[in-house]
Amino acid sequence: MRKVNKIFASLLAAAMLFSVTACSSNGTPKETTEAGSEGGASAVKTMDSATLQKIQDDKEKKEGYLVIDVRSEEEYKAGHVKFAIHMPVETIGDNLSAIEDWKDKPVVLVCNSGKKSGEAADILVENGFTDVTNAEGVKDGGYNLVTWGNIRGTELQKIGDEGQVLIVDLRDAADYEAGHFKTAVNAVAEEMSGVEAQLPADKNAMIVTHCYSGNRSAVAAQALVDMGYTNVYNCLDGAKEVEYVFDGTAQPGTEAAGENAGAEAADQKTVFVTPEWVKSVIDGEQKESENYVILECAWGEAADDPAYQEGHIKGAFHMNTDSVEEEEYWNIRTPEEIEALAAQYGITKDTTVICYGDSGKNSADDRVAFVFLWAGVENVKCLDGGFEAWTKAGYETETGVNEPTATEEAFGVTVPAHPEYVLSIDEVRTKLESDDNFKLVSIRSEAEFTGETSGYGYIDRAGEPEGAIWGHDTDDGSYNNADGTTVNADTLEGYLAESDASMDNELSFYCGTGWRACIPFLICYEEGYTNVSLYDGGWFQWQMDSALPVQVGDPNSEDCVHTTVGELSADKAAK
Amino acid sequence: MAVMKKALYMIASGLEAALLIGAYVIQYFTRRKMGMARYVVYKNRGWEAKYPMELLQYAAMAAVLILTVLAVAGYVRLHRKPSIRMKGMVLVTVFLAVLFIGFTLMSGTDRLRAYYFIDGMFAAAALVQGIKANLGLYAGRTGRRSAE
Repeated sequence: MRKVNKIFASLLAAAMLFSVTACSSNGTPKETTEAGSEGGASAVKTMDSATLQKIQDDKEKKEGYLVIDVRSEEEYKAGHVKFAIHMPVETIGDNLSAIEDWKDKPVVLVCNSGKKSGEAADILVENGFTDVTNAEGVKDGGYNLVTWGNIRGTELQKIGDEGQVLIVDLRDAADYEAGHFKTAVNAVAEEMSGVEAQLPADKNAMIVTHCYSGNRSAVAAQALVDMGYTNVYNCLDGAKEVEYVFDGTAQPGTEAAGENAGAEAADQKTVFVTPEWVKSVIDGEQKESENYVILECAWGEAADDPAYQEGHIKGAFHMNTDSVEEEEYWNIRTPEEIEALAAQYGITKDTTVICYGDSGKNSADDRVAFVFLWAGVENVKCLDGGFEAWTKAGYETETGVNEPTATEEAFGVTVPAHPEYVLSIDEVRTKLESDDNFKLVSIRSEAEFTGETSGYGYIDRAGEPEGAIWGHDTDDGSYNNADGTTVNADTLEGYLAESDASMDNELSFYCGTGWRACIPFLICYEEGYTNVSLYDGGWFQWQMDSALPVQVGDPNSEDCVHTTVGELSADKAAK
Repeated sequence: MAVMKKALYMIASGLEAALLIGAYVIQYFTRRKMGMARYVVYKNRGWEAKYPMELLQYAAMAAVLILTVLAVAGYVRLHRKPSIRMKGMVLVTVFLAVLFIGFTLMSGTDRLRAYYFIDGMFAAAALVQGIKANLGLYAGRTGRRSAE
């Protein structure tokens, strides 16, 4: 009997011990388990606060988990797990569609003690979610809580479309410029003070931050909270994960952009084209796509051109401007040399030649474009805004040197097909002396025009050909719009009017050696003006002849000196 | 006297080094900066118009050649037990002479825009070295005779 009692007592003790361990509370920290939930269906896992915090602190790992705080709004705003979105347990059943994309991915639920999150976990499991975890409660665990909220991409898109809430865009400036929400301001996460002036005065106003993957924007969100803002939200779904539609235009390079893509056809006479148009040529969407070359134009060999080496438009060949200019006056090379150059680059008169420089102000591409127009290429384009515009548009670039394939096909027309585009120094002299309608327009800086400096380290004398008028410089942006694109003939007309000239005059543009002057020529060419030309020799060739007449100073003032080249001092080279 | 000789030797060596480095720097910037390239071309044309460049080059080559031959002859004939320094000096003299003459004959402005600049610096370095070597060789021999 005593033996039976002992056995019975042992069994009873074992049963009690088992029941105690089986009923242990959720407050006890636990590692994530594969099966067995303390408060719900068997498929729900558990996770302690240390593990969840570690996941939240890992920029990459946190991308693999959706954390949902199922408490009340007040409790959520008072402080929650870093990247947790808010979805009260009472509403989870109605908002399953909002997290449908996480059905087969890890979803972690959290509340104060594990009870509400357990209930929410059960709801998810019952609705087909396969990887659900109930995490240690906020009150029990040692989380680093934050007070800014988190939203998902669909909510951001809605907020962006409505345009009522300030959005702080933490993406790179180039991507921001390429497209952003209409109420978005661009900022650097570590320098939020830089946009302080653009933040709402009301500290309770809603502000949303977003970036590529929710990390920079989280830093910015915290910074805003530190600045006193109480209604800040970070978007978890960055631009790398969601194809946002900015102001009705999708991000370039996305499928959504494809719906809006399709740049318009450009007229053959159009010179300045957009990055979108060039991209559409590369993508085979234009008639020019059948026969085109893209030339990255700069001085020097490809190996010595850092701009080309760092990255260029896909398929672009480097064009050294020395290839189109001779060394005596830096004038256009002989017709034979230009024809040979064209053949070397596979260019005939029917090839569409697309030139670009590093920026809209750089005139190297305009110089090359002018030469090919003069030679006889019928369709010549310049990428408006240069490579800067291309990268701002977000289009891809490549490195490495592309070598052109020469053509044996005849150029197709005698070079130059348009000799009338260029005036020689003798023609200019004759016209200045005998043609009142002729205007020689200086496309140089004011300091060059008034004779303060020659503008060049290799030109010793300063001044202008007698009778020249000032057409402003291209290097200082006078021929660029604020966005870096090229102005139209109206702007040129304004400059001409300053000297009582107009587009009705016969105009010949010049500069030092012929680069800058190509820009107004191309503007006029594009708009159909035929009374324009380029005086190729420029000031460089003019000042080589000591007998030629020059003016030094503003020709409209009485202080202007009228003399000859030989009388000029030879100490005006640019330092 | 010895200190002064040493100082002159150092100055001459420093000048040669500066000339060689300068030649490299000019070539480097002529390749990379349009303004420098055009300045060099402008100078080339000016010098060609003003001076008999080819004649000047031949004269410089002749001078360097004479100095080099004298240095080698002096090394062979006058110094039975040449020091390492002496050997080095003669070697450098020959090297710079070959560099200058070779560059002058095998290159040109059509290949290197900074040709005249580089050539002038090579010539100067070779001449300085040739003079330095000859002074060192013949003065060294004279010094020993005085001691004897």
